[in-house]
Amino acid sequence: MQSSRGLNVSETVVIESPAHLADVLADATAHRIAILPIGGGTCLSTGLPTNEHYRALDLSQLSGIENYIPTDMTASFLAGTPLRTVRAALAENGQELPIDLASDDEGTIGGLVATGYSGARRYGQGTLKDVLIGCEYVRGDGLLAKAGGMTVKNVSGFEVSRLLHGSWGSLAVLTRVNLKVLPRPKADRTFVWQDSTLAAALDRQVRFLTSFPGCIAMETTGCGDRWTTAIRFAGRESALQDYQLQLSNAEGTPDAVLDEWPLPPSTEDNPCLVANNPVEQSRGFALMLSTHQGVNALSISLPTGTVRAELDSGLVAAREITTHAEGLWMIEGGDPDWKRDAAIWGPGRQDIAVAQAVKDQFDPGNILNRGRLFI
Amino acid sequence: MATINLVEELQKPVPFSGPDMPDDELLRACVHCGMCLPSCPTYRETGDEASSPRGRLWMMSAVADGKLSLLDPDFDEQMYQCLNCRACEAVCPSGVQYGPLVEASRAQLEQHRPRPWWQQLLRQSVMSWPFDDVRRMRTGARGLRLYQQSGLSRLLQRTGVLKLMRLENLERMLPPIEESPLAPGKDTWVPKAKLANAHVFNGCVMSSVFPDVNRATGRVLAHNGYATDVPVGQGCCGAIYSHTGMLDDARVLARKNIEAFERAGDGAIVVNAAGCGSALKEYDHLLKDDPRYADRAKAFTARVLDVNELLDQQPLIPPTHAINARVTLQEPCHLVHAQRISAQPRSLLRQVPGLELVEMQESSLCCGSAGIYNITRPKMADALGDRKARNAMATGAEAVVTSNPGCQMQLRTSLIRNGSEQPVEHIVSILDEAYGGRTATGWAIDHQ
Amino acid sequence: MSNRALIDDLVRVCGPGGVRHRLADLMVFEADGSVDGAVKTTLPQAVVLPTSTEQVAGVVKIARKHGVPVVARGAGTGLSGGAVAINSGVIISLTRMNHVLEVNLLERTALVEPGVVNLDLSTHVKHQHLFFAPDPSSQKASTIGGNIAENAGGPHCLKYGVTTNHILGVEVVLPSGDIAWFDSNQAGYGGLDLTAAIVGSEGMFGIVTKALVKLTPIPQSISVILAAFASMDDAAMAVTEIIASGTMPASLEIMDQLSIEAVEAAYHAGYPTDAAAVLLVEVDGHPLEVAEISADVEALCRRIGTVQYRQSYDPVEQAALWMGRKMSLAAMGRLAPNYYLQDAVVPRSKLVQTLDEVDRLGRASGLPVANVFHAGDGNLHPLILFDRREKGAVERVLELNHDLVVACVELGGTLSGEHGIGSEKRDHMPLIYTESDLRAMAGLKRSFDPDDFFNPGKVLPAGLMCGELKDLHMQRMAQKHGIVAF
Repeated sequence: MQSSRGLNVSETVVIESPAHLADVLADATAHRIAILPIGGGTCLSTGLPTNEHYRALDLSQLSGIENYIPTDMTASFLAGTPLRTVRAALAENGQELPIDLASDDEGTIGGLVATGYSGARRYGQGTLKDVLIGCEYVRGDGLLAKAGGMTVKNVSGFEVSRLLHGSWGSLAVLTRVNLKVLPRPKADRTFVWQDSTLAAALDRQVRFLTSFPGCIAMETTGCGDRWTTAIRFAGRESALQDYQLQLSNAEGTPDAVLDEWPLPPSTEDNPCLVANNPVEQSRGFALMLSTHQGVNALSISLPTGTVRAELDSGLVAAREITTHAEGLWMIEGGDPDWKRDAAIWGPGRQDIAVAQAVKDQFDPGNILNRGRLFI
Repeated sequence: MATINLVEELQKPVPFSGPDMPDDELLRACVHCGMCLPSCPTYRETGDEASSPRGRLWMMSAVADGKLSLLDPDFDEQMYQCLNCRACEAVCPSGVQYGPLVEASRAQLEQHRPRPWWQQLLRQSVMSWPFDDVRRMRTGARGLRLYQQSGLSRLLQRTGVLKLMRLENLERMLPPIEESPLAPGKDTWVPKAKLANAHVFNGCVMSSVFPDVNRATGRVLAHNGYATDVPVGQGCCGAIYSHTGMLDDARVLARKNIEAFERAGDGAIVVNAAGCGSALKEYDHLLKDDPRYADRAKAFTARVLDVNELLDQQPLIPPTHAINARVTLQEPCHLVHAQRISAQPRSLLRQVPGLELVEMQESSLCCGSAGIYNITRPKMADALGDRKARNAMATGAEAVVTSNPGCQMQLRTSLIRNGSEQPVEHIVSILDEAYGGRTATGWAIDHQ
Repeated sequence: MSNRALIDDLVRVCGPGGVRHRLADLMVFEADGSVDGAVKTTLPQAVVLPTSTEQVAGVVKIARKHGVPVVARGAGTGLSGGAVAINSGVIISLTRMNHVLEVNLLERTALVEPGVVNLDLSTHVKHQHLFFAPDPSSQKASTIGGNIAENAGGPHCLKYGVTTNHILGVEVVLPSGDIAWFDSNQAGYGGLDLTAAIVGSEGMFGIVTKALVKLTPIPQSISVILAAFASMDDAAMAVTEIIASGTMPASLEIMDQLSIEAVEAAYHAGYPTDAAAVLLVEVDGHPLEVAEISADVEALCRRIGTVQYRQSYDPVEQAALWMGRKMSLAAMGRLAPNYYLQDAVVPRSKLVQTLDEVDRLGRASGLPVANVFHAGDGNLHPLILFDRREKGAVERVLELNHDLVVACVELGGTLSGEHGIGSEKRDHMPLIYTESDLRAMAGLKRSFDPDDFFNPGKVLPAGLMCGELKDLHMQRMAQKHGIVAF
């Protein structure tokens, strides 16, 4: 028995092929064995603590680029392909995914799709859902199936792929993902301003929103009296220089001009609250507000060793803020004991009946990530 | 057994038959793609596909195929709910000629459908009497003027007699009539430097209700170099008849007009009523099976120009008087859809110094006038009129400009009903004012 | 009479003005944009025109009570027989729910009812310099609700994405008659992105009664380029090079010689009739960037050997350049009275090979085929020209269509890029999906609609929704793993 981030793993099965995975899951469903699919293993600290004894799936063997024709601007990856590999293969052809991937990222492409991770570029370029054109998956009950294909446009059949995006492995285990890839912009630039109050920083964001709709990302981060607001553009050098000129005229000379987007610090070991929709005040916590279209992601980082009372008050704050804005929130990381009683997946959902019916259909034995998730 | 057969016989759908059947070729051109739907005022208003051009064509095909009876009351309803505004034709990717099809379907209904006596009477009184002779229409208009002034108007409105006669809408639409109509064969306008001849089509409603617009037309044409007259012998264009399926009556009038304008000699036939213009431009189709008139109709049709069309053939002689006002343009269906004249009125208004054109939403959606539609179907006409009034009022313009007498009357009523003071002006009246109106020089009236 | 009782119940919910049940009024709802003979429709028992979500929910409950299926419908401009009744029942026409309820300029979103016409939404927000990006050719008539059901595309979805990329949330009436809000932001937040499942579900999962949609800023600068080439290979090479140069144009469209001829005959768009292909490129964005990219495109087109090159920043001239493309379907009337519009997609690198195959199959069948297509994303639109009055013409068209679909699938393509499967392409589904793939899709359908009550008989081949097949997988698994408990 080994423990992985507070999860009990009784055995690990190395998956050799999609057919093998189908057998493993059918058997697990038959015997009601809880399954823990593991890609890069970077998100295991997210989710409810449970007393389940999981059969873990090591998906690292399902790795490789299956079909990548750069001029088609599409690529198919086995789900366990490391993000490093994906990033390198695309970069070689001047292409990329519309998401910031750190070069030392330990994750896998399947995990990225399953968790629905999106970064700051979601504002201008959307999420992986927008480029997901097909996939192969094994349902909880062991049915191996595919949806979509390798064409960038496809309305043949129902959108199973996009439903699986961000479903945290609650319905099926991905074995292959097909993605539309984008040309890498010639230049990429971020302009940064400092403010001493959150209100001033948010005002700045609103001005950006109204005057610079062409940007691809916008984010405010900070704590106390140090707030940083960043705006990012991508494209031809001439356009970026003109944007810089316009910005300087409107906002004064930027405090920093960067060629790379400052990736947020890893929240691996700190409890981090990520929420949708706007926030009015930080309640004293370090905070990151990424503006997206129709959704604003708010992250609150609580340093390691934060006492329980502070964690609780952080949660209350998050609840108030998001309830007011009809938003969602979730807690990444954090101490298992504390998480047990905290509603880490946010508020109740009014579509739960349908979500549960879908879950029952895909995973009738409720084996996938049992106990960790919302459904 | 015999009884059952009789029942079956009675239930058999009544097909199209006899003269003026909807042309099968034209009908089959529709591939029911649905692109016409939002262009249709009655669909816009009801959201019901039965009230859409595709729906109506689908029904016509069903009658042609024996799947629906010509005498089905819902078929009748739809053929007459249609305003025949032709907006669908302008947007149809397959080039379906909707107008002739709906007119033929109405002709079929007129031939085959027994109407209750009171409807026949109403149609005879509203339709046949005033329009088949311009003089009678004018007498009627004078009568109405007397009636407006006498206070009888208010009395009748109060007692609801008009409502009973379904004439109240006609009453509401009539502006105060002040001028006497033009005298065909007498009124002429002579330009300083002659460019060409132009013959004004007098029109029933225009000549009776808006004689001032006809005079303004003569003046504006003369300003721009046209030696203008009003030929004798002309009459009603016949649109009212062809739109209601009374094609033979329309043909009688068409022949009369062709003869009158042939006698008038060369030069454009200028129309300032979009509804009449569109009817005149279709004489070739109306008389295509008449061996004596088919070719003459073609020649006639080729000479017909809307006043917007004629004046915008070249830049206007620069107007001399600035009009400092914001106006909005309402596009008559029979101008923008049937004749596809859309850029010209805008171009003309832009040449008026000081004038600012503000576009309204849905400027080309029917206002609900549509010939006698606002008399026969006041409810739908009012709904469309209200919609148009709201759109016009939203622009904040000081006046609404259009170029069809039916629209002018309908707009005026609708604006008043919606509490707006915006006047409604014919585009020619605006241009006339920009040249200094009646007192302007630069041309001469020659009263023979 | 049960129909009478159904009508009476419906009138109680929608009022007499909101229910249609007589022959002439019903038959018009058998029409959609699909070609005659391709779809076997039936007369619905009733059509309702609700004005609120509550009325839609009420109608669903009544239809349930009477055991008749429900078909949701927008403007009926679909090309695949999706929004027509094929098993009778009640059609819910959503055209009266046509209000833009809210526009949030800061978030750049709009909350709209499903009956809002696509182009009307863009017109509504034009003054705010925004537009709704999905632009199917039917955008003047088709509704947002219909666009959602079909996951509609359009020429500009090369850069801006298809409908699903622009829908943030939907209010739906479920087959139970319950009303729910699906928020796409649930993806990654522990719930399910049920909005993702609803978009493209062709009205089989739920009826959308409100949608929160993204609005896109109108680009600062637009450049339209027309380049004619002496061979289709050259045009395709230009597309490949534009893509390879690392720019993402807003659209990349190609017309073949037959289409050019038709357009020139009908509209005199000024396209060179001796060219084998005309490529239309639209680039948008920052003015300096657009100018640079336009210059790059010109250079590479000239290098490949364009026979005519035109470029414009002027909206009026741009409209003229686009006119031939936009009017291409209408112009087909010059060549034949009817056309069948195909919608297959292939990987872009297979375009030329696919066009050769289309040409070969067209010749073999004796039916002329014109090609007008979204070259940027491999979405072909072969137009099979015919005259439906000729005996057996429709059958020959459908046969050729089948052969074309098979050819595209063999080249790695798919059945439909933007028109949907409906009842028209339903039986082609096994060409691209295995029984397991389809069973999984049927499972998803069942989780929303266990009784196959919403728009039955569409998308999934016959038999997949019936009880026997439903449990086949479970039975097999039970046999294999020796467990019968689940």
